[in-house]
Amino acid sequence: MKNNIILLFLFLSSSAYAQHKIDGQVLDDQTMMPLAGIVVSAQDMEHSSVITDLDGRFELDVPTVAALIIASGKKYEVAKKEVKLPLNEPLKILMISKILQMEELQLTTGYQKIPRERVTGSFSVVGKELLSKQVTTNIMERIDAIANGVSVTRGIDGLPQLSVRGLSTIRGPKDPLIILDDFPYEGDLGTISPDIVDQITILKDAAAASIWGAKSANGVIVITTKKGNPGQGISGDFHVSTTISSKPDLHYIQQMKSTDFIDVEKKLFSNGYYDSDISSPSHPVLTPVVDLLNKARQGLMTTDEANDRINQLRMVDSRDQFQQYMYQRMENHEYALNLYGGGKIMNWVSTLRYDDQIGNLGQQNKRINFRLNHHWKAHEKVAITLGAYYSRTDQKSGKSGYGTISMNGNWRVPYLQLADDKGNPLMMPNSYNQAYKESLMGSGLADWNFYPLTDWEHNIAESRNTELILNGGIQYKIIRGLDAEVKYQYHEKHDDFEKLADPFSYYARNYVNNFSQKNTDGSYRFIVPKGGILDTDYWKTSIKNIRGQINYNGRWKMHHIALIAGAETRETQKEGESNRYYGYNSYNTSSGAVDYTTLYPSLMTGGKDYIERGQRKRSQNQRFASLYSNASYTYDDRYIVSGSVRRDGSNLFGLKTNDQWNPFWSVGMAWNVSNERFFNQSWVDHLKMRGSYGFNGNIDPSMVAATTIIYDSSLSIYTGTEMARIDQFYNPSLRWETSAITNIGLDFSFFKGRISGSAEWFMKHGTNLFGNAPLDYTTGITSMLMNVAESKGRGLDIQMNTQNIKAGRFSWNTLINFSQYRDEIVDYYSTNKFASGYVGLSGQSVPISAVPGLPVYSIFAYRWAGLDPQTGDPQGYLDGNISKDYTKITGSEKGLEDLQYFGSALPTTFGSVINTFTYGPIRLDVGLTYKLGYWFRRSSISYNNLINNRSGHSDYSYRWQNPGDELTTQVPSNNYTINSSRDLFYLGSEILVEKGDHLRLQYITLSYEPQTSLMKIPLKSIQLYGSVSNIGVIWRANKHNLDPDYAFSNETLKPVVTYSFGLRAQF
Amino acid sequence: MKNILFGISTFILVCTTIACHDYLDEKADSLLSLPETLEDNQALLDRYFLLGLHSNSGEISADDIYLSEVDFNAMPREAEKRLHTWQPDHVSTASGNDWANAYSKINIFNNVLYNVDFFKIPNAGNVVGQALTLRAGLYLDAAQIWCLAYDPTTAKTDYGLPLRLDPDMNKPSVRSSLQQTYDQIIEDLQRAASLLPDQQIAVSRPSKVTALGYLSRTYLFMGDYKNALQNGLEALAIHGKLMNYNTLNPATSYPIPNANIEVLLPTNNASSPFITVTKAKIPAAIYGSFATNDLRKSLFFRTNNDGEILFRGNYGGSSSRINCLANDEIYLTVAECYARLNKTTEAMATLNKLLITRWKTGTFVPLTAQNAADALQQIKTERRKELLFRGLRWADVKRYNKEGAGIILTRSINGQTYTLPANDLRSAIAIPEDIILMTGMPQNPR
Repeated sequence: MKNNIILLFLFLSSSAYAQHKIDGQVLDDQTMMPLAGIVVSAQDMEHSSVITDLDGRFELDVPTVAALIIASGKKYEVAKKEVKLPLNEPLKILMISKILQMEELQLTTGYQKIPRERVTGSFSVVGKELLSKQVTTNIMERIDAIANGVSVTRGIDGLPQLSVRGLSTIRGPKDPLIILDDFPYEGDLGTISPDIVDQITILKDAAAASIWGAKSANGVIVITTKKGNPGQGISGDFHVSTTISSKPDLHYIQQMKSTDFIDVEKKLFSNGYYDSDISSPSHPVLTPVVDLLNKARQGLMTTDEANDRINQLRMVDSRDQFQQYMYQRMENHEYALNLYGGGKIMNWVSTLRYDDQIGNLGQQNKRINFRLNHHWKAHEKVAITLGAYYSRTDQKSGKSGYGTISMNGNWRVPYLQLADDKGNPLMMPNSYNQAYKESLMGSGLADWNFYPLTDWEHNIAESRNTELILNGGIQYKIIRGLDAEVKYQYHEKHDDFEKLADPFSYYARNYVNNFSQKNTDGSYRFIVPKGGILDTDYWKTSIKNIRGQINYNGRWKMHHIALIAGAETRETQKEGESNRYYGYNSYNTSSGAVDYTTLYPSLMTGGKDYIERGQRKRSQNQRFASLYSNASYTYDDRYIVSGSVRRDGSNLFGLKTNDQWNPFWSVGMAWNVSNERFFNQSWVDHLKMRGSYGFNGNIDPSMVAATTIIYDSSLSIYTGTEMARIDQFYNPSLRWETSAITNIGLDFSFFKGRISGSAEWFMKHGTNLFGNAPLDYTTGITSMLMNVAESKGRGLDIQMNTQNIKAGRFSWNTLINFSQYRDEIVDYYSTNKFASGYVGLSGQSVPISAVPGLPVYSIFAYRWAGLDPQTGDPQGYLDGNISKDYTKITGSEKGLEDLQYFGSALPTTFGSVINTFTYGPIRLDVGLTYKLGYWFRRSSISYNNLINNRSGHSDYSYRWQNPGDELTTQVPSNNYTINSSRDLFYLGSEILVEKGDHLRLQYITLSYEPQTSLMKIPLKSIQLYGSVSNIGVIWRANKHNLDPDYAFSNETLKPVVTYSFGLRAQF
Repeated sequence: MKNILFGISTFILVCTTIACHDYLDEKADSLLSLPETLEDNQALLDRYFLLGLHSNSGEISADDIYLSEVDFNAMPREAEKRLHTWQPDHVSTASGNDWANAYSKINIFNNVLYNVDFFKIPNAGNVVGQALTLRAGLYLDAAQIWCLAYDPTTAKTDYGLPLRLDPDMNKPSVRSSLQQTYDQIIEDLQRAASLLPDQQIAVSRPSKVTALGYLSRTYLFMGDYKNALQNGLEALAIHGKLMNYNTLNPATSYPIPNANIEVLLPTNNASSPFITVTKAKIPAAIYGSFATNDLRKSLFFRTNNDGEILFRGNYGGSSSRINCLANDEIYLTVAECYARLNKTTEAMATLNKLLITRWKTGTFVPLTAQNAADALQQIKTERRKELLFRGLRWADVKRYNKEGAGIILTRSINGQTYTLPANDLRSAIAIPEDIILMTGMPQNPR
């Protein structure tokens, strides 16, 4: 075991000399051989540097008693050493050879490591330093803000979609392929601890990614875990942190005012709208206000009394109720320990990590990671790698969030009261007419009331995810430069899910009551046994990978060849089972028997139903086999050409077709301009041009080469035999989806690294893109996976690191990521659409535009002609004239001609700016992200939703009410007559389209890293930090105070601001 | 060195290629398979009833229901409001409309018929017969919605349905003539009747009686009363059972059991807010036409707090609207055909045989008719009463009007009166506009 830092004994000195002399020696940290020709200087005193002699010795004058000594040499990493004078023995500086550090400069594809110098493709690397500036439990949440060319969009369907260089597919899986070390990772990225990650490499073009073949079209993200370094002895680091958050801002929800909502209910009641519900024999639920109005009408209470109670409800805002009783601060604690061991023969790393989170609703999430990675050079020719990774996540559900408590279907009232003034739970009518429920109570039935405040306590979902990855590899050096390796990985995952509605839960009580049958004596017979209802779901996934690969690395004279060729197979087996238990008793895990084959009339509605069986079993087995090769040739470190080819086969494409081998290939070239002899610009440290072209693919598991059927898990109630449905229809004309990528890049470093980075221009050409094309459904198929489009995209990725100021102890560095991506449909093979087919709605996925020359996801809108001054009806245009024929406008066969085109629904310019300010041991990081050049549709009031689904919108307050209002508002009037086409028109009109451009302050991190050599603690380094994340939008183009990333529907919540404090240390 | 390299790579390549043939043959999902056995195809047919939704456009358009104004105003789908008021166009909801419902199931049957041929499945007569019956039943139902009533003098030029008879989705949809449509229905049903057994293991599988019953209905709609009578009698001869309504308990919410002995095929109407148990009100005149001792008065209906008449649901055993083919309809068809063929005695005897099971025991006085026309009138009245919500009224109005009944449908909503005169072109409901746009098929003339 060797230390590369010699501990110095420090004495305080009151020396007052103007100059202090340091005697020292520079040694290689491995061989302990003296190093000659090393430049040694004190920081900020570079002009008075000295050079070591043949014994590695030097003498240096420094002006102060404390100084930072810097040693640099060609083949060594720069070494820095803090000293305090006087020294009682000569200073020893150990330097680390760059050869041993080569891995740092290498890029990995998951199959091989390529020195950055010889790379022809597009790679974007995020190292652990940059990753550690943000504090999140999920590693993927961090790369959005810092990685080049990567963005998370939420515009299409409201769900976050991580994409590399824009979307490459229209349908198909959109997620990039994630590689954990060597193999694809199919688990939940949330279980991978950020503390084990050494670096993340994003493979952006064909030369980089096509080696991954049929899954690479969306880009590939390679996560490399931390490894032990040979010859470093035992070292380690640990990290503890605590994160707390604000409560979510529920007032961001555009909820209709309670008083407005009540007015609507009163008006509808007087119109008789609720009469069919009130008198319905199936006893549907009435909202509290309607119930009060009905009671007053029936004379069960006085009108004054009813109005008093209703007026009290006008003051209630359910957002406040949820905020007060359901939401809390999120709290997260993380502890991580890494231990590294590095000897000459063996090196290893071991990680232990634990985190414990209580979410905003009190939900619990506990996660433990353990990892061991061992590299053993067993023989001169044989290297063996063994690894084990274990992770376990336990989750438990919490309270009920906003929007999860509804009366029936999605009915929710804005005046929902969870608790009375004293905090006692209040009853909420649920599922059925409350009065009818009450009339049935007694006679042995369970309490049928629903208490939203406490029901979650009786409805607990728990999940346990256990993951085990075991891998091993053996590498054998056949001759110099040629080795063969075999790698194997076994990944097993168990996902256990249990949801128990205990006997006191509303769900169980309601279920049992509803199935009970009335006996002739008035008592009840229970068909579903009293007790809890337990649902279990269990999946076991096992993934086996085996890979054989030959690596050749040869150099003679000016030539260098690197070649890999290999074959691999991958099998994913899944077995799943679900069960449901009635009358479940959690103390002795007993459950009751039920009859699934008899129809029982519901006590409440009289409708007959079967008891839900909830039992199923399924297994899946996906297999892939691949052959691949990658080769590169370098001439004189100046010219590089490379190529890769891969074929994939799988059992997915059809049950009997394994001849669907699909080839992918790429070629690339690069020119290291700065290595040219004629090139001697001293300010240029490094300049490289590169270009590549190739194909990436996309597998869609639903592609089949025959019409397949899928069996139901239940039997026919009539025949008692199996039932099946058609799963996929065979389309003989279906072709593979491919994406051709051209990439031209420039890597640069100027002024001794003051400015460095890369600029890349790329073009994607997607052919035969899959899409769910609407078909003439006379064929029986409404939509089908077809090759619907050809698209092209052009983009620019610029990454730049600049050292803006470096003055004494202060420095200011900036990292700029700038990406542009514009895609457009070149050709669309599908059929015509109506105007409504281009528009889509707020709260619904943006439809694919299908218009050549326009972005794949475009925002179109109906043209807006203001509100009718007489009625407040919205007005549009039909055939160029102002019209209120909403059915014709939305169903216009002319489609496009009558619509207004805005632009892309996805940001066309995006990136981040990270500024780092350092003053001595203090560092401040400020991360900003921006998304520009796109449009989104904001939500507004739909009168159909308001009246039929009891779901309003705050815009209701601004609706047109009287002539003249049309001058100040664009929100249509409520005329209590639903015209779904009128809603469709208004919600899809241009008045609701907003520019999405915004600038977001993602995080601010302040850290303090004192010189440990000045403290009497056995630590190499220590860092204290505080960080604030998700601070929010600081500039937006829209005037409605909307965060465009979180404006998908009127109930979308913004992420909470989190505050983290932590400590990192190395020893 | 090159030899070693070459050797190893060849070895890997050869191993992988050979191994892959078996390796990639494994089934990717345990529930997934090719529909190559008789059981697979029977399983496809047996699932039909989970989605076996027949059209509701006829019920929404016909005069068996009305809506209160406030309920009408709050109806969530504009297309259905237009349908209810007989607008000439844009009467189909954007997704899951009747057209899609009908043809998505026709496609399943086409697949089954194709699979039997393609995989050369032996002993498939029963399965083929079921698929043909189900397909013909859907085409017959669809023809009542999107085509004019059958008129032998114009059927060769009247628009029929696009007849899709195999699963190839690349073939364009082309409208056949109404004659071709009916010819296809009859051909399929006749072939099915020759293939199917008299009885199946469950009512969900069409039997010979189902095929004959549909044939009887088809010929009735075509005005071919002789064939309608013959097929109806043949069906009743095999399975002419009727329920005695005295055995049913009106105290339960849905007293008539699902898949009872009268049912020949338990098909449902697609759901719509227009025909829910609470919104669709029954005109008082219909309710009033039931005598006090007629058990159907209490079994079929209930009144709400406002005294309006609601339909309980009949042969579904639940609130869902069932438009099943059942023996009561065959009796009424047979009776009607006898009357139209001037056999008054047989007509009234058949009608009375049905009605006696509907009345309180001992109270029924057999109906009599002075002549065939009187018999026909009484049978028409009883047909409407018995077959409420069975998806037949719309077709009946159309064919009665064809022979000059002059039934004018009117609705008065929000102060506006809507009228559908007899034999109006709008009685062939507009085909969904997107279908017209995609296929270029001619729309029904307006």
